[in-house]
Amino acid sequence: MVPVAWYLILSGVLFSIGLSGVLIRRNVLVIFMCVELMMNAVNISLVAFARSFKTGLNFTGDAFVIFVVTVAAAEAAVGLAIIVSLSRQSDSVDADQIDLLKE
Amino acid sequence: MALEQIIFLVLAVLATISAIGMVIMKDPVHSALLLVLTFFNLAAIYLVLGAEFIAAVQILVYAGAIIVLFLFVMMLLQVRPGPSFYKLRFFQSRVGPVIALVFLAEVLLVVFASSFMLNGGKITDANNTQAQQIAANVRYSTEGVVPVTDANGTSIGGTGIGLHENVTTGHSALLGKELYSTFLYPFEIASLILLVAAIGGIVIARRTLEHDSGGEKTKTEIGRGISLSGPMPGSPQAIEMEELNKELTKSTKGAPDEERRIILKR
Repeated sequence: MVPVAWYLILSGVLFSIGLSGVLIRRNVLVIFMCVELMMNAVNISLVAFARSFKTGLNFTGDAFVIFVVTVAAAEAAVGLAIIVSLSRQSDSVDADQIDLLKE
Repeated sequence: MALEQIIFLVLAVLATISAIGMVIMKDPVHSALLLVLTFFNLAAIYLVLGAEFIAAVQILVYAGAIIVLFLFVMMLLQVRPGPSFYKLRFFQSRVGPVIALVFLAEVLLVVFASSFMLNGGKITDANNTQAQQIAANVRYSTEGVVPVTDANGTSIGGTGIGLHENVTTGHSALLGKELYSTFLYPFEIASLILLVAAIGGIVIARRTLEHDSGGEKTKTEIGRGISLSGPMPGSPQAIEMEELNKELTKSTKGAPDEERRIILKR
């Protein structure tokens, strides 16, 4: 039996890696991928918590993971569409170059 | 150390290394492939947790759909490798990891300070011992929570499979039952979200007519999204095509109608 704390530590580590990626990288696509990684990190802790409570039918955490995956897929579709249309305007996927609202 | 723990540690270390590689890699395509590796490791970790349906969803949706979508967009946009990790601006490359490390320290503090570690990884509270006693006397099946023994005290149902000793059905069946009963409304709303995202994606990525039509519209540009037959706008092929079009109209301007039609046909 793997302790819950191990899952939580893994989840925290992956979330921090994703967070640092969002802060460091300038390519919009890579930033997006890091956000996906952060969502995955949260999913692990959700399932681990659902397993650690042994009360009744505990599938709330699992069901929540399904919804998170759904929202992640929707977010990827809309986000990538935005990136495509942005790169059509400025011919770049650099987050620093996209400053339409500044001017 | 149990075998389960060793497997978990190997998977966790692999997932962490490939996640770090994803952040460090210069080429976005390499980042995407390393992210796939991370997702596969996470799927295996879900298997260790006894959540086989979520493991399958992880591979199908994340590795199969989302990353392929990312790779397709990279192919369409012709993304070039960015600057090396160390050549970034000072604030981004130094302060970013520091903020992330502070966050990690907070998470670890919470994990170690709370009761998770002290009780051998098991969450214990006053209610949970009682709940475990209840759990020992029932089994989980698609019919819901059923008592293990009947009124006379003889046991009913076979020996369990899965994470809990007295679970008689697999994780997928129970999760499906749960999704279609307790979470029916969220489930339907999720389908609505997917519909909205699909329509929104098409509308946003669609090529607008005003944006493209500098002078004249070629056949591929009218009323279509990303046209697979035509070149991407801004790419060398598109510029070449535009110039060819301009030349054609210039050369045909003076010519009589009959001749112009022949040239345009070519």
